Amino acid sequence: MTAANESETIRPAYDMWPQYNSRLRDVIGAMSAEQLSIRPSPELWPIWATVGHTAGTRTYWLCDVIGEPGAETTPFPVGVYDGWEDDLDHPRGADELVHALDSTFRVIEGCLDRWTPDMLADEIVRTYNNVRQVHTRGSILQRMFTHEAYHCGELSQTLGIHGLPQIDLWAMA
Amino acid sequence: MSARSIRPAYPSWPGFNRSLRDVVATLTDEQLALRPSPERWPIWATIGHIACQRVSGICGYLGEPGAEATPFPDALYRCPGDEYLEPVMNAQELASALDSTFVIIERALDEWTPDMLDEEIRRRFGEDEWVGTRGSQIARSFAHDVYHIAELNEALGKAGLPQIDLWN
Repeated sequence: MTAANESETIRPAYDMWPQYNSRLRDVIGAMSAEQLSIRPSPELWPIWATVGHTAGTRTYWLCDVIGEPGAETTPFPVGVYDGWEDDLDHPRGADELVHALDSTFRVIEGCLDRWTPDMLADEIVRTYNNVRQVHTRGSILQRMFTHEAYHCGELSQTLGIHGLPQIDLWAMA
Repeated sequence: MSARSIRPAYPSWPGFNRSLRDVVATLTDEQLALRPSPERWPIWATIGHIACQRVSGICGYLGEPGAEATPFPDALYRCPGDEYLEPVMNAQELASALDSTFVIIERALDEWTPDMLDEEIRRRFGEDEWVGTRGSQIARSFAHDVYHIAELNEALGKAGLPQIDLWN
């Protein structure tokens, strides 16, 4: 698939996404290991795990499920289904998390540059736990966008409660 | 809906709004007064802020109609949380606010086409000029809803209350 003219791609519908990724990345990149280990409550993931989960989910849905290229350039290759959040005894540092966010965001950038509005209705079949599910490209991409905004909100609340800088997705640069 | 509307880019938004609205409608005044921590807004203000910011973004910045049919006709300058914590809104008022402001979103999803998303829009506010696109504002409104739903879920979960389920 070649890069489409921007006016024909879906980028205008998601043109704030790069900013959201960089805001998340910049806050996480400045955090210490101790801060990244904060949990919103004892039974919930530490911050580092939520961030790793956010990054790993991108390649799972876009590369494993849809077949987009690029997973091999991230810490989450195709076919490896355990995310960093599944191994809480192996905390991830700010550098690893930033690399995970940056490298997985390049997969998203590829979608924003190549996908056109007409492609959003393409059906994508996913078999999960022996159940056949039918998604669309549009629903999966929106799921990713939603997933990130959701976890940014969750992280911000935790950061704010602990007196740390929050992820301001919308402030002017 | 036009086949060329932007609705396929935001297929789940109506369901998210419904999930939010349905949880909000069940909350008591006491539950709506809960705060995640003492210095943060009470739940009701975050919900009111979600609804009001839709109007601010789509009507206030982009000039779309419909603000007068919501509780926030002056949303650019006066939203719950941002500007006031009194008067408090109750569950019925908040559910109604989510409904009436979502009418504006539905209209955008149905009437805007992909080509309209990167059209530059300029508005003057006093001495300042704002320049943006429909695409930025609609994506912002969508992400803003979800961002604050996550915050609400944190607070609801800690209080042992039902959360807003976006994905199941």
